[in-house]
Amino acid sequence: MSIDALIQIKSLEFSYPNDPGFALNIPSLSIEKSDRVFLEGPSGCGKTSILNLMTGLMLPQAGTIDVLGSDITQLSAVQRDRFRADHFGIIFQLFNLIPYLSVIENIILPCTFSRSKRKKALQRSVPLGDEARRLCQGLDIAEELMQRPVQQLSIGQQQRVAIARALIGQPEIIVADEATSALDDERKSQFMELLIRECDRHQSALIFVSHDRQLKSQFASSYQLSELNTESASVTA
Amino acid sequence: MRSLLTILLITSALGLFTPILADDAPELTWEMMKALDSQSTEIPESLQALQNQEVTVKGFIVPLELDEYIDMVRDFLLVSNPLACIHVPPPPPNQIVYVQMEKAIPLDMDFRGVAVTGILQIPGPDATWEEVSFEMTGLSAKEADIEFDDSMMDILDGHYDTEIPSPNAEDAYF
Amino acid sequence: MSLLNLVLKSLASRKLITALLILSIGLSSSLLIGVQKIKQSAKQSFSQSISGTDLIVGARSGDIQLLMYSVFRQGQAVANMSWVSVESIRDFPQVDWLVPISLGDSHKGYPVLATTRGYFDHYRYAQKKALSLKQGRVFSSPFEIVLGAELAKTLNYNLGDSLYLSHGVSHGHSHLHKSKFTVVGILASTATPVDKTVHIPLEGMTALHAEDETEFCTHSKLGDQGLRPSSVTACLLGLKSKFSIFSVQRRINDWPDEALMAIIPGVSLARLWSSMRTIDSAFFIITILVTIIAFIGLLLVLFMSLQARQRELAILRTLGAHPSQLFLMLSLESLIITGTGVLLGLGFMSGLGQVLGPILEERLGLILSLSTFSSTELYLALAIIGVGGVTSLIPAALAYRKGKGEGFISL
Repeated sequence: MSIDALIQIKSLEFSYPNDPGFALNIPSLSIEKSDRVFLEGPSGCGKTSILNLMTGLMLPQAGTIDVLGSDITQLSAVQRDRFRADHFGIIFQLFNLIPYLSVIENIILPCTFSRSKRKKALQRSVPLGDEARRLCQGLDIAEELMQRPVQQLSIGQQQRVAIARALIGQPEIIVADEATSALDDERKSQFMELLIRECDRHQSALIFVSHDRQLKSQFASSYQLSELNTESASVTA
Repeated sequence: MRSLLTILLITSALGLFTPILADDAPELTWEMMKALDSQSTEIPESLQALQNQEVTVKGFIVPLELDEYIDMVRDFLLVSNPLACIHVPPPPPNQIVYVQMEKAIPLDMDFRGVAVTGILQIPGPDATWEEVSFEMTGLSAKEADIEFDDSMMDILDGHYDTEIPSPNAEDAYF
Repeated sequence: MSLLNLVLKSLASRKLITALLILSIGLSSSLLIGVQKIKQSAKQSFSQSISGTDLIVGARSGDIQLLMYSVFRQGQAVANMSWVSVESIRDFPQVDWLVPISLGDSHKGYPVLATTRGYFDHYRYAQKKALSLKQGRVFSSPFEIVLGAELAKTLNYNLGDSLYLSHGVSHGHSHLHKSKFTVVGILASTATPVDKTVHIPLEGMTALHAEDETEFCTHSKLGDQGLRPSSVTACLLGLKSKFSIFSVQRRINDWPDEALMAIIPGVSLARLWSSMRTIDSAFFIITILVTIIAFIGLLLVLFMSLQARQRELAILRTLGAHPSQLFLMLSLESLIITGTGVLLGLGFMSGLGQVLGPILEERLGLILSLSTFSSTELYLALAIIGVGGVTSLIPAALAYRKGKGEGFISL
C-alpha cells in the first residue's frame, strides 16, 4: 500500500437495513493513482454498493474509505456530496443524460454542482460552453449536434456525451458503471478506446465496473468482487 | 444561561406589573355624569377633579365620521345603551360623550360596547364652540380623546352593566 | 448553468402543463384580488361621499334608502317633504345650517340636483373636504348650472354652454324641458357622485315644473316668491352642537304634521355595510376556495412530476447535488409558477378593471378605482405566492428524502 493510493479501503462492513441477505465485508482494497481498475462481478453481488460507498452516496457500518487522502466516512453528508461532485466523474448505463437539456448543457452540468470543476474547466477554456466543445471535438461529436436536445442523438453519440460530462473539470477519478452493457460489440470497442484514451490524456484514474469479462484485458488491474468480499461466500449468486 | 434566565424573569415581572399601572384611569360612570346640569355653566364639585384628567367611560358608539373603508371610526358619540328601542327617550346631553379619537378605532369593536379612555374636557362657562346657550352651557357630556384601552374588552364580556339607566324627567331634553 | 436555469429549462420542457398551471393560478388570484378590490373600492366610494353632515332628513322610508338617494342619487324617494316642514326645521334653535336638495330630473342620463347656494358651502366629502370650483362661480340666478367635474369632461362642456334638462331619470330624451340653462361653474374633481351631477338652483327646478314653463324667464331671481318650491326630496342638516343630534332626530321623527325621518349618516353607513357583511364574507370564502382548488392542482402536478423525474433526480444526486438542492429546485419551480400566475392575474384584473369599471360605476353610482393597486392587493399577491411556496414543501421534502436514499442502485 503506497502513499500514492487513490482510494484505500480498510475493514469495510456494509449492509442494507432492509436486506438481511446481502452484506459487504472488505478487509482491504487499494487503488493507485492513474490506475485502470476493472471491478468484475455479476449483478447483485455488491458492485453498485461499492460504488455508492466509494463515491460517498452511502456510509458503511464500519471501516474507513480514504479517497485522495481524506476519509470520506468522517465527512458530513453535505461534505460528501461536495467531495463527490469535485473529485469524481461518473458514467452510467443508458439514459443517463438529462432529457430536456442540450448536449452542451448536459456536459457542463457537473459544474453547477462543483465549484472546483467549474474553476478547472474555465482555466482550460472560457466560457464553459467552449470547454464542452473542446471535449466534444476530442470525442468526435460533430459540431451540429452540440445544441441539439440529447434525445435526438443515437445511443453511441449519447455515450460519448456521457464521457465528456464525466471528464469536464478534470476529476481525479472516473467511475464507469456498466457503461457498455447496452452497446453492440463495435460500439463497445469504440467506446472503450475513447474512454481509455481520454482518461490517459487527462490523467484520471478509471474504475470500470462490469460483468463483461471480455473487457478485462484492457485494464492493468482487476478485482473480482467475490474475492474482495469475504461475505460473498454466504451470498447465493 | 444564568443571565438569560435573569433577563426572562425581569421581563415577565415587568409584564405583570404594567397592566396594573395602566389600569389607573378612573372610570366615569353614567351615574356620575348625571350630576352635570346642562343648563348651568358651572362644573359640579364631584366632577371638577376629573377635568382634564384621564378617565375611562364605557358605552356604545354612535359613529359620526367613518374612515375610508368603513372599518374604523374616529369621531363618535358614546351613549349608555345601544339605542335599539325607539320608545326609550333619547339620551339627554349629560348622558352623551362626544369623543374624538387620536387614532381611529375599529368599528366592530362596538358590538358589545367599548370603554374609551382619554382626557376629559368639560367646557366651562367660556366654552366657545357651542353657540346655542341652552344646549351648551354647562356642557353635560364629556369629551374624551386619545387612546383606546383594549384590555377592557375582557371585563366588558362578563361584567358589563346591562341595566339601561332611565333618564329622570327633569333630565329629559324635551 | 445555475440551479435557477436548470429549473427554468425543466419547466420549459413541460410547457403545456406549466402554462395550464400558471393560467389556473392566474385566474384564481385575479378573482381573489379583484373581489377584494371591488369591495374596498365600493366601501371607499360610499364613505367618501358624505362627511360633516349631522343629519339627513327626508320623507319617512328606510334609512338606507334615504342615504342612497340623497347622497348617491340611487333609487327614488318614496315621497317628498313639504317646504313648510323644511322651513320649520330650519327654524329649530339647534340647527346651524340646512341645505335642501331635490332630485328627479336628468340630463343625458346624469342626475340633476336642485339645491341652494349653501350646498357649496356646507357639503363635505372624504373626511371633511369642501367642494371647490375649478372654473367659474356658483349659480346666482334660477337658470344657471354648476357641473360636476367628470360630467363636464365626458360631455365636453365649458362655461357659457347651454343645456336642456329631461324630465325623469331615464336615458332617453323623453320630454325635454323647454327652459334653457347656462353653465356658470364647473367643480373640481371629488371622486364622489358629485362629479357626475348637474347642480341647479331650487328655483330653477320649480320653474321647470311649473304649469307654464315660459312664465319664467332669465329675469327671475333666486328667492323670488313665485319660484319657491312646494316640496323637496331631502335636507342636509348641520347642528350647532353634537349633543343635540338625538333630540333633533327624535323631534323630526315624531313630527306631527308630516311623516318624516332623520338619519345620522355615519350610523346608516355603518349599518349599510354591516348588512352587506354576510354577502361580503360569502364572496370572500368562495374566492378562497377557488384559490385552494388552484393550488391543489399545483400540488398534484408537483407530486406527479416527482414520480416522473425520479431518474433525473437520481442523476443529479450522483453528479453531486445535495438533497437540499433538490428541495430547492422543487420549491423554485413552485414559486416561479405561482409568481408568474399571480403577475398574470394582476395584469388580467387590471385590464378587466378598465373595461368593467365604467359599467359598474354607472350601475352602482360609485366611483371605483380598479386599475390602480393599493397595498392590500400587494399583500394579497405576496400571500398567494407564499402559499405557492408552502404548497411545494411536501413534494420538495419528499424529493429531499428520496434524494438521500438514491444511489447507483436505482439506475
